[in-house]
Amino acid sequence: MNLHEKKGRRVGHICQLMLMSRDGTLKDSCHSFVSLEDHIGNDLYQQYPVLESLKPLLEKLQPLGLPLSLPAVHFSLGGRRGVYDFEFWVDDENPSQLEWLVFDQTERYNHLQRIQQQRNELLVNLQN
Amino acid sequence: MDPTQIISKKITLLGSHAVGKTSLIAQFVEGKFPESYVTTIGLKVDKKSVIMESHQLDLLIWDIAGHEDPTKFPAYYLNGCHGYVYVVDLSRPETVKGLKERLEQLDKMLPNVPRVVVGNKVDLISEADLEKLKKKDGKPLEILASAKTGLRVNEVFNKLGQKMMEQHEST
Repeated sequence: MNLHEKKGRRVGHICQLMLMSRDGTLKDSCHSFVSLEDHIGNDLYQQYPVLESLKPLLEKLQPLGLPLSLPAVHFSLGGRRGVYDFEFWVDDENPSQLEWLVFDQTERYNHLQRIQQQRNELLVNLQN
Repeated sequence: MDPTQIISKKITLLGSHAVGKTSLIAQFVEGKFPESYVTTIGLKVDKKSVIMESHQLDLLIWDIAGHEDPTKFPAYYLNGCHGYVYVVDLSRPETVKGLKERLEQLDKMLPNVPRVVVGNKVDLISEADLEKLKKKDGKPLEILASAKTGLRVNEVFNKLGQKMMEQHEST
């Protein structure tokens, strides 16, 4: 097993990379944790309100520029509901495309949510 | 009337924790009220279309974790925001305290961005307290609503929609 395969084995189940055109069409996906074969060619802006709301910011992304990062997004990717971190870059090999990297951090954020819930309930009880 | 133009606007709900931001969205989008309080972490985005005059206005509604200090909202949540709803909990005076100052801070962070200031949970306060609130100066609450009963929830989003459309048409 080479290093890339080892890496895939460790993070493949939580990390998926997709390619989308600037107009929001899904061009390709690594399908690491959810198969999007049936979604290739779909308009992602129409499919996902969160992406539609990011459209003006995605349109401003520059080749070799800073990525657009958005943590802790509650989202259903191809029917797999979870809490994901998003990162978007311009594809350096093809600037007419964007790379969209999705990390499934559901377990981590669920843990944080439980802690935050306890803190907020405590504060609300103190205020009541 | 068929809408002649579709306009998308990103709006964000802001305010302290447990003031009812998520519940207002759930009531507006799905006509449901979540009976138990579940703290929001991160971001959820919902979409609802409303007809404004001859336009279809697609509201892309960002529900984010609450914080009493507006300067603590991460910039990426507010970036590209076309309008916002600031929510306080009328049954918890702490969330109303310092409202004017918080709105002034938001004016600096989001200049010329339309907003609606909402007092939520109006169903939990007495008529007498409600009268006091109405008479108090310097409390810029525009709508007293209840996510639980649905009272004036549509009005909140329609009012913000109108303000954004006025701005859209003037630019």
